Amino acid sequence: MSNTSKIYLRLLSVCLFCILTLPYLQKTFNLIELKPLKGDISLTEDTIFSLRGWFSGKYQEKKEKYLNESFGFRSTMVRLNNQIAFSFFNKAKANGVIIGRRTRFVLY
Amino acid sequence: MVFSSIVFILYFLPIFIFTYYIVDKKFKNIVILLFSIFFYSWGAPRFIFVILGTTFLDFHLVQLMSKTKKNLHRILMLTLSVSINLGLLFYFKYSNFFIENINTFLSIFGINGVHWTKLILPIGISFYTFETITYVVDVYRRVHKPLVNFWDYQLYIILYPKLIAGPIIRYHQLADQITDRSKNENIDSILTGFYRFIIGLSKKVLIANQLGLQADAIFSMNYLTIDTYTAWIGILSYTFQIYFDFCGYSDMAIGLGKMIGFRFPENFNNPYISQSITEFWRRWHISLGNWMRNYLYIPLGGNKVNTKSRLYFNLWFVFLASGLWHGASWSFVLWGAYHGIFLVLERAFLLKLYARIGKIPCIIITFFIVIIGWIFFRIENLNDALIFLQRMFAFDFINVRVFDTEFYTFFILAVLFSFMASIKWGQVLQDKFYFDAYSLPRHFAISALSIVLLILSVSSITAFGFNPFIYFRF
Repeated sequence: MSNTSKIYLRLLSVCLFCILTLPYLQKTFNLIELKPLKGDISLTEDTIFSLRGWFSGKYQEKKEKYLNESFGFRSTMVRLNNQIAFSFFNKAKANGVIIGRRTRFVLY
Repeated sequence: MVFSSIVFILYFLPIFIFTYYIVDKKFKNIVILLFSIFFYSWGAPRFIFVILGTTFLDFHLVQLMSKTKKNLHRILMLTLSVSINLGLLFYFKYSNFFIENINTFLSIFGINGVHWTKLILPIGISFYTFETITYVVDVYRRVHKPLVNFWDYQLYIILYPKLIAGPIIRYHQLADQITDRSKNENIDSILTGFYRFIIGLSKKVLIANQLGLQADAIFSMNYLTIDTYTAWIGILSYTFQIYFDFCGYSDMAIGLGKMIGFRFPENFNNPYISQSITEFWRRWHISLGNWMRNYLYIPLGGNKVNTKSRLYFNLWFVFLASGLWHGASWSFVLWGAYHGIFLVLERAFLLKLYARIGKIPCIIITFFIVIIGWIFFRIENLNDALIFLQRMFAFDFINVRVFDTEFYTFFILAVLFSFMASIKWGQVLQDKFYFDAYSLPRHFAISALSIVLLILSVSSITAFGFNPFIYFRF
């Protein structure tokens, strides 16, 4: 493989790495203003580390739940999943949404 | 922590990769070791001490064994090390099962059962116990020298990509890579490792999870009222779920290893296109099959025995043990025995018969045998399993359950990817994707595909509550 190719591949790997870190950067620096998800959502609060919590596994459980619910672009990911289900399979996955003959209805 | 979780993909993995590649070469193994300890502790914070303790003991026993010249001492050390490792496996994995069966037996005679506090199974114990055994046996057989540094041995056992659900890597396959991976650490490996990880993630999240949802719904129904079509959809969904789940995990493990310079052995090779059960076990969970052959079948005498009955016993016994390895339950034992019987029958006469009927009928027959086997694997209660089996052949098509387009889409994808290698172009396509060297344009194309699959997978994990790994409980 030529040196130019290697440089391109290095750039490509840096790009892929940046894509992996984008949600973290979005969460920390709020790079793009995103619309929050609609509806009544109760989000898990971040947890404080303690050795007791760690050895009982409760710290990991709460932390994982918190990270799942708060990572950057989460709302976009949820919307994307719902949109795919609607566009390809005519299914409504969002809570409180049903599909009518010609349109979607949102139940409040 | 599972590979297909947000915490792993978006937090653990980027931090690990970043740390691994910014530190100096001499600290890379320390980075992997620390991250591996953290990875295991995240899910099993107390059991990490069991691994650290037993590896310490094992390492020193093997050191002693390699230094001693007396054969008797060597055998003694080998026996002690294997006993400790198997003892731990039996204690954590099989004591609940053993006590339950003793109590059932005692209750027949009206005797009170033994009181016992149920033990929790440490994750991955079946996998790392087998690896510790390969270490001591490989050194005993002088296949490879022991590791000089304790932390190198610790790294071999606890290396997180393969720690929890394999592949089971035999010591001599990894020994040299622990101390020197420089020839494998290049930009091409990092990228192809990343693609492999994403492919595995997609298999798990986009296919196995979708089919698993339907399989779980069907297997939680009352089997007596289930119609034949639903029963078949249920078992076929499970058949593909378990394959894409475990194969996806192995792909992720191989990919992660490749990203940091390790070359792990392949664990799956299109098992559902096998033309016999013998071939199936060369394609399904390859690393377990190899382990069983090298560390159980051959010590039992393997093929080199005087009588055919002894050969058949060896074969059957290995599969019984393989079933029991999967779990402490009679259903797993039955599943192993079931496969063992077909292996013996194939040795006796079936393979000759298969040779006459051609490729496609052989694939269909083998696939059918495998599907029936999965019933006993999936349903723990034997009576329930038999009722389910009976419903599959009841030809009851009244009140047939309707499944949606989303399910059928993923089901068809699963069928396509499972059987594509049975035709020539499918095999060529797979080989090109997994094993051929990549040109620059192909790197760009696969990178773009990986990004799309990554986004779809993360999106699915985010909105989808169902994310179990079947092989984690083993």
